Amino acid sequence: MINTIILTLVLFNQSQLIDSVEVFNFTSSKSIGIQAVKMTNMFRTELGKLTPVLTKEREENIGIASTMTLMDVTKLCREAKISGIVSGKIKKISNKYRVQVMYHNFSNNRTDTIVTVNSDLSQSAQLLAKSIFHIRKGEEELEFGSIQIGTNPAGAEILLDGEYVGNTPARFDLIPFGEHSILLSKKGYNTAIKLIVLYPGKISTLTETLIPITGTLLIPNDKMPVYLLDEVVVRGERIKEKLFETPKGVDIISRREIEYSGARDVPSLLSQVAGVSVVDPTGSGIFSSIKIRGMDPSKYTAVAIDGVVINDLDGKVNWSNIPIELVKRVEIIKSSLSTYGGKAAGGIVNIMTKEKEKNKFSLSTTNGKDIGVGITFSASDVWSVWANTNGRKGKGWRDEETYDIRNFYAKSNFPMDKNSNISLSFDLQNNNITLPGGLTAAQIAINPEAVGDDKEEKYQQTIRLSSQYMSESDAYNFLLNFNAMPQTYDVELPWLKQRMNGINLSGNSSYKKDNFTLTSNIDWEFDRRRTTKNYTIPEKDTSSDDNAQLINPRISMEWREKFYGVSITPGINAEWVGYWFQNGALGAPSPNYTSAFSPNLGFLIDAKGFDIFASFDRALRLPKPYEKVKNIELKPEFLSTSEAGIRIKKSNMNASISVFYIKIADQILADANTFTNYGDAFHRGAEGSIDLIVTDAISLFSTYTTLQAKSLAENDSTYVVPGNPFQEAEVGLRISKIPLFSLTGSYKWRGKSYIDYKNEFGTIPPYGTVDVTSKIIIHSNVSLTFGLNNLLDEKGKNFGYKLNNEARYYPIPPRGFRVEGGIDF
Amino acid sequence: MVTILILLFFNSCKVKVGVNIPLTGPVASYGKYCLEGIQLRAEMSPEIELVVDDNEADPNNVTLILKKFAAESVKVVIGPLISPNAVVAGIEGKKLGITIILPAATNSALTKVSPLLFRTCFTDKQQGEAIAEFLYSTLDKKELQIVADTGNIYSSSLALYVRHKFAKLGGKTELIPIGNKTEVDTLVEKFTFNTVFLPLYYESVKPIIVKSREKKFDITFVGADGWDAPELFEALKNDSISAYFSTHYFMNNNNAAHEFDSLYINKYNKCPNTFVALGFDAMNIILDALKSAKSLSSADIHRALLSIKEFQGVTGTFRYKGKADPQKDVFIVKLQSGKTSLFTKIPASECK
Repeated sequence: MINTIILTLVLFNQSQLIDSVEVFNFTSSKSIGIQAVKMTNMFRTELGKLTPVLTKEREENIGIASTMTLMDVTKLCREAKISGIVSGKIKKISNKYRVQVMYHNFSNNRTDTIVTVNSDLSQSAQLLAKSIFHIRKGEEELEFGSIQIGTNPAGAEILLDGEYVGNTPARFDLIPFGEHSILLSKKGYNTAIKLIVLYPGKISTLTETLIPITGTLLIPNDKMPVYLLDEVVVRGERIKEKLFETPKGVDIISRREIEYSGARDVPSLLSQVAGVSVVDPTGSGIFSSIKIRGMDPSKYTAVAIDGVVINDLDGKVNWSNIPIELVKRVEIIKSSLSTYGGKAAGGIVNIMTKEKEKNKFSLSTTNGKDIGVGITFSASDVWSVWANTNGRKGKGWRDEETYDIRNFYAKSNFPMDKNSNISLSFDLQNNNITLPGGLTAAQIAINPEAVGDDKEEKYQQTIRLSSQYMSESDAYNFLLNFNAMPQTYDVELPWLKQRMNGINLSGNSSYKKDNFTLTSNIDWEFDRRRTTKNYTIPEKDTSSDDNAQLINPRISMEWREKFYGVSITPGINAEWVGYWFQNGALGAPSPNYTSAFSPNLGFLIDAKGFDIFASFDRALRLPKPYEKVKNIELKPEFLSTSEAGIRIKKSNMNASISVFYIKIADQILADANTFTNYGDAFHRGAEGSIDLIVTDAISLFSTYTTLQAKSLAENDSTYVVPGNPFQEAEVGLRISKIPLFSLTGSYKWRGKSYIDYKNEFGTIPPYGTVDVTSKIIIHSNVSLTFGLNNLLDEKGKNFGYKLNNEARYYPIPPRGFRVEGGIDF
Repeated sequence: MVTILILLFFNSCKVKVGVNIPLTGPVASYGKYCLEGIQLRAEMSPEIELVVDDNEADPNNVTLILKKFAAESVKVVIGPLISPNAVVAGIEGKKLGITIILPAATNSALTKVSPLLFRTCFTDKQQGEAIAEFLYSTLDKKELQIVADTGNIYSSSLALYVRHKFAKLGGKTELIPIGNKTEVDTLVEKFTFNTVFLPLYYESVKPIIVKSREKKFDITFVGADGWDAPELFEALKNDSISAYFSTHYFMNNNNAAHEFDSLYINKYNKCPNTFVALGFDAMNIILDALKSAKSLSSADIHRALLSIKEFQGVTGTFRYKGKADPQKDVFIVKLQSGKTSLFTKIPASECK
């Protein structure tokens, strides 16, 4: 209930101020009138303390005129040649008083406003008395300041020292000098927090341009304001820049958005990003592959935990090593970055982890056919550590799909001094996986759970020791990575057996001053692959041993300048790559060298309500021995990426659209698993997303990606790159009450994709899936996560290839569930 | 599994104290030191269960963590550390009904934001007035030049409080506003009085003092808690002219501090700094309130905090007059030839 007291407190004459002190109360009801009388008396007492001249006799002049209006009083005052009038309003909101007092000076027609809040009546009376006393003495300049607050756009709510005082634009006078806090909030905009100092006798001006809520995947869906922060893109290594200074397709999933997403693991979080496509063949989440703009993830997408790239030698990522509870932020750069080198030529997913989280024990199952156990432990003292160990054993949904995986990942951080620290990470994987192989269309028609004759067995043992030394100051960053990864990766197919191992070392330093960034990197890698043929298949002319050694130093420079509102970022990347391939056990190494100057250029127009960006990047990607299936010479690929987009910022809606064109020169062309030749591959497409707030607790999201990926071989025949859908769309709904509950349901549709463009039987038909994921906190220490996959039970085919001129498909899992119970301890 | 259930059972008997501070990000080092202090005190009290979360100094994380704490039945929260985060915490904490202890945020405006904010350090206003009093009365300075970084709230507010109080006492003041682009050479040329107050962070203080010594200026420099960093002491080891600064804590300043110093040195093999001490005292105050709290509800703990009249901590004496801001001892440290010594302590009772 809101009570309002309107009162005219004091009338006074300029020459004999106190003599004519009069108090009038205008009351709207009897009960409020009592408050007004109380207030008047308190005010009188306070004023009396400050001005001993207010004697008993003079107090008699104070009268109460409960029937008069403010206009009547003003008229009376003017007639009596009284110089000023103080009028006020008290609003009682709950148990608080918001007192607004206006001092109208008739002689100069000036009106000052005093607002006091969050105080009891006596405190308000005290402040008012003090204010008026100082006005009278002409001393207001010693104790009070004024503030003019404006926002663009106007109409933002002003919270002065935590209390609502009005909307912008507004001016407040007679505010006690010193420190104050101001929060400016408007629906659809980031809340701005300002701590200000008011100087006595001065008018401070605060003009704030409110930034629309944008750049987020998920719209906040409760009343919690989003506070203005400079979203920083760390760009994989330590070059920091603000999100809206980045002329590229960038998505940042903040910790807050992770909480709201209801995602149960990192792949399901990434699947909500436009342009990112996730394929989870078993439904368990552990073998998910993540494609950015249709680019082969094993070749072009670098996934990093806290800046340490964790892709295995074959480019794959073990997602079960990254418990989502430990993730505090994910940055996705959906384009090549010449400064980062070829390993991220298709994009970077940089996952930043928390220093400390509660210890967790979890048990999970997929369709009741497997069991997973996970323990996450973290500690922090002078140094910090987190470790995750997990195992999953059981059967997939198809016959003979089995897995037995055991992982351990630990990361520790040791601060050296204020600016530098060393972090160590240790990764141990022991995975034994049997995949039932692809089926022909005829086999699927009979039994989609059957086993193909190209059943695949994988045995992987990896030990990775990474260390990172990071030193950071305002102008300078230095980073040294050491990434030693003895890895044994055995793949057993009916026709061949492969074992791979390797080691990687890299170093990086960057220098940033004003608009200029200089980065230098060096990578060294040694890979070894041993192949044993079981059968003779003419297309796969495999050799027994391949060793490769690569050195790649790079220097990149980048400027940023602003001309007429357009931010332009030109840069150049100079690199040299030396690589040695040794074919066969006794073969002589064949040295190769390539050097390249790669330009990059970005444009950004940051306009009101939207920004437009465009960029061009060129990157050189180093060859890998595991790509060498046929005995052809390996050489680096050149990737040229152009993209342009627009990010629209509206009050309760965010939208973004971008188009991209990627040319991969000298790619080894895979014509349905047959590596035959070099050629140029082209990925062109568009992606867009819309996030919409419906109510405080409900939000909608949608993404759309369209892609065409073709390759052009030397003999000029065109193929569609296998496995790439031409269109992908998702619409989803989120309902959350954080931190207790979050639920996300989405419908995902994939358009037709091809195994072999030239043969109609190599076409994968369109299909749709409905997935639901939810997280519930049952008790402060107990949580339950459940996911329902593919509720429509479509037995479509999401990935295929061609074997012996016949299309093979991996059917996606039918309706299923995954449930995980967790206990924090 | 059985071990976990047992752990769960025992954990539920404890009082959950949340710690919402930055452990990564731009001010991570403050958070890490503060946490050391909090943990050191909590380890001595088996009834306390600490729930620590890193807010990265990001206001969105500050609110998210508070919501999580509320769901986990956390009774009282220590942190955030920096003032802009504290405003946000005040607003969210008020909605959630969680009592929040501010161990190191000195901005005087903070406790007005929410009645559930409770501070365990002095405010900029108290610090500024204590410095003015010290300069005017103890050092007998009658003229003071004040350098204020107008773009920085900490600097400009301290400058204002010192100037206002110093002028009220009868002293003459002159303000020298500086910004990002002010050259040290130009600034030093403006020093015409023999006492200069530098309410700046230690990185900015060093070049100003070094440059004025190069020019053979015999100026007494005075600073505030932003000076309290070994990096500054090291940089001024060749400066034999005394400088003074105010701070929250000095080693061995009282019996409680003496005990704390030994505890910390034994565990970490290094000397404690101000943030460790402030963290330790934040936990100290909570434990003191728990003794008199009627129940373990957040409201009763808050009432118990407000009923504390006087408290002796390692950062000196705290005097609360039923309000959320204490009057505290302000330590004035003398810095000469890179060495620090406790020059005087302005007791809480004298700070107005």
